[in-house]
Amino acid sequence: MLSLHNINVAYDTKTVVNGVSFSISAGEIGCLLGPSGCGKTSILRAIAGFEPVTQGNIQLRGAEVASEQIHIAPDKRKVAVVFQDFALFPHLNVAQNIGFGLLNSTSQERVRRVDELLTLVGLPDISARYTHSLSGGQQQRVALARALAVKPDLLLLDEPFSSLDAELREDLAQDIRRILKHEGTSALLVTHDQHEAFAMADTIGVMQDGQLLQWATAYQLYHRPVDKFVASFIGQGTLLHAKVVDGRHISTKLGVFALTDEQTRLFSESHTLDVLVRPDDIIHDDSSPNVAMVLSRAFKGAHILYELALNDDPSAKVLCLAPSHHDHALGEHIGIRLDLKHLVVFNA
Amino acid sequence: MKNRLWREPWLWTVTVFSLLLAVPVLLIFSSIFIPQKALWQHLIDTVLSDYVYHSLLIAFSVGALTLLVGTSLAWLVARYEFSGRGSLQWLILLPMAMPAYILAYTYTGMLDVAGPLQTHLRAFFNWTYHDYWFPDVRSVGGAILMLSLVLYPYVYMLGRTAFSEQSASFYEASRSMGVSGFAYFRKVAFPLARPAILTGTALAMMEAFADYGTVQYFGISTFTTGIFRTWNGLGNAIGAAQLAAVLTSFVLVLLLIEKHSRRRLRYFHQGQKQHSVKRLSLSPIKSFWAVVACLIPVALGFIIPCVQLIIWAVERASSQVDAQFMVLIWNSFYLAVSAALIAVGLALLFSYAKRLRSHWLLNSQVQLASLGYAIPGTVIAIGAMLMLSAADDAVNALTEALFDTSVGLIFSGTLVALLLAYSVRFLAVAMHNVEAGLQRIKPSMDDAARSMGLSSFSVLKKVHVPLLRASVLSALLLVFVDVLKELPATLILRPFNFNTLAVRTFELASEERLQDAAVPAITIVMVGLLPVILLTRALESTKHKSSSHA
Repeated sequence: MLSLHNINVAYDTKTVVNGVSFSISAGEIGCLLGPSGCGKTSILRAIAGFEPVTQGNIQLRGAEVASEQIHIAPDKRKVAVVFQDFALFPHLNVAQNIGFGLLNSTSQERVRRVDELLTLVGLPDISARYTHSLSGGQQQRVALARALAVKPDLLLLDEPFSSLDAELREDLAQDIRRILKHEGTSALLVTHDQHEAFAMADTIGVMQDGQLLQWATAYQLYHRPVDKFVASFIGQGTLLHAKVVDGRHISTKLGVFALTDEQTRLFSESHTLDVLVRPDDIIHDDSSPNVAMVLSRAFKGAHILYELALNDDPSAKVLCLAPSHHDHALGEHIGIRLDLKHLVVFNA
Repeated sequence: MKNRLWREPWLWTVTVFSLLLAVPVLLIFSSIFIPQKALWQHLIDTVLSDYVYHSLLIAFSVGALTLLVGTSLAWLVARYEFSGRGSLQWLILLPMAMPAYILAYTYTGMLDVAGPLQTHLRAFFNWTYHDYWFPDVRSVGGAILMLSLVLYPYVYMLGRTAFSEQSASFYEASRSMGVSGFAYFRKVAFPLARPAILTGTALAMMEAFADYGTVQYFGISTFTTGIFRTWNGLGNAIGAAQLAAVLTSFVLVLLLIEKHSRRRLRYFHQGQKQHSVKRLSLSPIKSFWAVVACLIPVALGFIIPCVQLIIWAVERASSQVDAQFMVLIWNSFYLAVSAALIAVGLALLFSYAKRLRSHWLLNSQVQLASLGYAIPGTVIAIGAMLMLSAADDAVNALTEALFDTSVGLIFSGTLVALLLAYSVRFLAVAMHNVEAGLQRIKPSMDDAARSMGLSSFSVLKKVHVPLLRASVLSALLLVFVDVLKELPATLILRPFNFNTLAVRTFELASEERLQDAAVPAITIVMVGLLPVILLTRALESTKHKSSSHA
């Protein structure tokens, strides 16, 4: 449906997107995730046709829409956009907003499509209202309905939840995912919030400084991050120092672990490494002979997130998500067990 | 109730002053209850249909023309990038400095049979007077053109701000849905700017209704000239007031439209603005036409008449600039300064009262008192005259009963009458500026200063005075210039033999001494440039502020 090949986007002389490639198949929901200023919105704008690309090309349905030579106008791309500020027209009511892009339809068709969409987004009774009287969540749904009205091949969503209350966001993200899947629309979402990305997207790309670091599922990003930035940006965790011993194993403060065949090829004897340890890799077990000291704790309701020092060394820290009843004080030593399902190591 | 009122010093001071300012207009409306059958029968038989037809025709044509010109220029400047755009966007405002009646005199002088243009045409083509057709400036069409040329900046200014504040995401959303180019203007940009553009058009139409100098000089029967004729010619004060009431009700309809538009304007400013639309660059040829399009109204409304006035003024300076002219300058100057001080003083009183003591009665009184900007000067003058002659009668009856002597026309025959009328008419101008300044001083600043140990007087001196200074000064300047340009109320209310620059310009023009009239006229225009410069700077600074936020 959509594929980007090695694209660059530049403002004046400053390159903000550098050699990005990825693709989205029909009906798939993709997401670009990264801190602000990483270039994710520029990619979105280049796909929509609001910015030209200075290198590489963008293909929609197999046809090239943007390259150094070609720039197809935004309205010829069959791409719809939901804007960060929704961009709902204040001089039109909800029905007129949703019907705005239905230029070649009869008024009967338009009414039918508008009703259909309002039902789909769960707001069947507001067609005559003006947008200033709607809540943020309602405006968001109307903006989505308007974008879907023209039956776009691809829907782009630019930080669609940033102006909404935190409680609303995840609910709405899942609702929108349901709607998009129901309509079979391919979509690309841009956000800085990983929870939104997890709730909505099938595939997520993590970006930093104009580059796409990894394009994968949420599970892979969390459990198989390709580098330290992705590892620290997605989820929580700490890095433990390790050293390669006898070619196939590494030794850490938590014990000795086997490297995979692939990892064995990458690292030689005595090489120093960092091992990624997620909070769910550390199991709290009062009967374990391994103990660690509580450095800090954060109560999370069902769980308590402990920050622990191994061997009383505050530079060797791990996180542990313990059931809420295991209430331990700062400085206390508690038993832990390592349950590494797969070893993630980086060059130190 | 009365007891409570005395314990509210802000409330009763404002009540007294706002009533004083409201009486002239209230008298105008109460006049309709005194039957004037004979007069109205006479008016209906003769001129009334002319009054209605011409006033409405002029106001609506001026509305349509200013809407067209102002909106086109605003769209051009806000949407496109072309060489010279930077200077043109404020040059377009220049005609604001030109009172319509001065434009009318200048064009008459230039285009009349004996004027330079027709004289040259005859000499060049060897024509005589009857050989050719030439448009007559002194016509309804001429009046519409003169008024539109000086009033289009109202629409332009509000329209330009509205267009350039529209979020880029509106444009991008429309583009992605297949709406761009002129369709975008028609379906999105114009409807979004419509409240602002309608506000500007309503203001221009109010000014067109209020115009006296232009239509009087062109000999067109409208409500304003009719009020004058009924007042001076027929000597029927109540009849004049009743005509004034009809004219005012036309204007009040416009005022309602304006207020409604301003309310809608607030809804249209929802959502955070992400970034402004990038202006589209024009090709060199299109740039050239854009510059021409911007220059035509400026040239016609300011540059050409201004050059002509300067030429005439230089020619006549030796005979016209004399001791009498100095008296004229002095009269205009101290009258305008006194009026500005009174209007800004009242504006400060009203604004502080509203800030310190929020009360529905007080708020509605302040609103009522600032409606004066919509009421034509002629109407206010008649109302002020009715009010002050009644006051004079009462005072004289009292002094005759007590001391057996009369004191004469101490109110209606003196500058008191003029100052009252100016205060009614221009209070809104002063209020607008002072309130804008006061809004920047947040109540929490007062609290913060007081909590740091300053007395309320020190807060006034160290916080309010420095922060208010600029807006008070611009309020003073704007009222000063408006008073200097004001014609009809000054004509009706001036004390015997008291002349100002505007009145002298009018008198000389009426005597067909158009070249002589250029000397006081160009003085008014030059002073009138000051607020335009001020306005340009204010527009620039808001632009810098908004761009630094982006």
